[in-house]
Amino acid sequence: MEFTEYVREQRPALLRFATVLTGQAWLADDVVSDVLGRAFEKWETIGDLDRPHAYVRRMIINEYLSWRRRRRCSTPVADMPETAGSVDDHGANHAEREAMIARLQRLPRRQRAAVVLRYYVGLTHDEIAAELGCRTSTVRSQISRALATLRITDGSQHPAAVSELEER
Amino acid sequence: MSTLHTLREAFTELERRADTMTAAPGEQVGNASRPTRRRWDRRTLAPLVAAVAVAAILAGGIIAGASLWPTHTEQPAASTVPGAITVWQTETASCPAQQAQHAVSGAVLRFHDGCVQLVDLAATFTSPVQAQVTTSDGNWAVNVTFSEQQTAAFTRATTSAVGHRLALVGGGQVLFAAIVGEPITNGNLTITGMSEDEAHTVADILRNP
Repeated sequence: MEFTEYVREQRPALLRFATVLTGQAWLADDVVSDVLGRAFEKWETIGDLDRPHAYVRRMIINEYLSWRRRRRCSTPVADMPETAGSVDDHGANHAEREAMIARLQRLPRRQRAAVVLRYYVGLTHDEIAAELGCRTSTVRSQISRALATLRITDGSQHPAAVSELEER
Repeated sequence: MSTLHTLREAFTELERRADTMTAAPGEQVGNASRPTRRRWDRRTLAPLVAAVAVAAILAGGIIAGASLWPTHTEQPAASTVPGAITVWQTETASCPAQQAQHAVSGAVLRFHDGCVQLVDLAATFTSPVQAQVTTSDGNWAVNVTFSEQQTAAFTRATTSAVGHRLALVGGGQVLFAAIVGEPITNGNLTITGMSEDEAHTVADILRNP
């Protein structure tokens, strides 16, 4: 696939993924821009892969993890500000969703990456381990801790929900 | 409502914010620290793109791969770098002090945290750039052909700046400022929307950086 064609077709999806990963649309924009710049330089290799998109997605994950390490001191992680919701937003649901986004922001980055790959991308634990370069058991424990944090921080007890998440 | 459901709703909301940022010009969503950043996209620039395309076709059709859309509504401050053509990435010129500081290096500028800040070096051409002035039906244009090395630099600049504004700066003035629609990888660029005098000035600066 031509690089230009790839960017035209996949950049919106990459931006979505990066925004879910980083929690900030503008940060995702930076990460995707940087990654695409580097992807072009070795596109002869990437473009010939069976799944170039998976490769670029992994570059985004690595960029996100290293970017956050580099910029943590100068870029505080802020809660997402309130934005205008859709018409069908109702108070309770809206508040719960915003609280969830805020809790996601507070997760350690590797836990967050694991959760996003598991429940947003839909990868298996083994596939996530390959993406993150760690053991499957590590992925399981990271996701387990992340889910516990999301639940505990929520202030509500939904053990059934956690079980559901773990088993899917 | 289950936690799983809420988690998916959170993902959906974040996707919506990504789409909003991509699609809508004007205010950024999801970042209170950059309230004044402005963006342009294909929709807002559609009439302009059409005009550029028509002009390019009239000028000889040499716009292959060029997706820089000329617009002069907001130009960055001119670089003072002598003897070099620099490509700047900038959204606005709201922080003159910082621009002066970065002008020395001819670097990429990006609007960030309410200010124009140095992000990365985009491209610097110290060697002459091949430029030809053309005209057709009163429309003046400059056809630029980069060397292999210049093409690599320009490709990297445009690839990492999709959706952002790039400015070609030389001789102390902005030669060209446009939003990058997609990476330009073939080393050809057509700058349109100029008067005859402007076209010759731009071409001269490109030929003699």
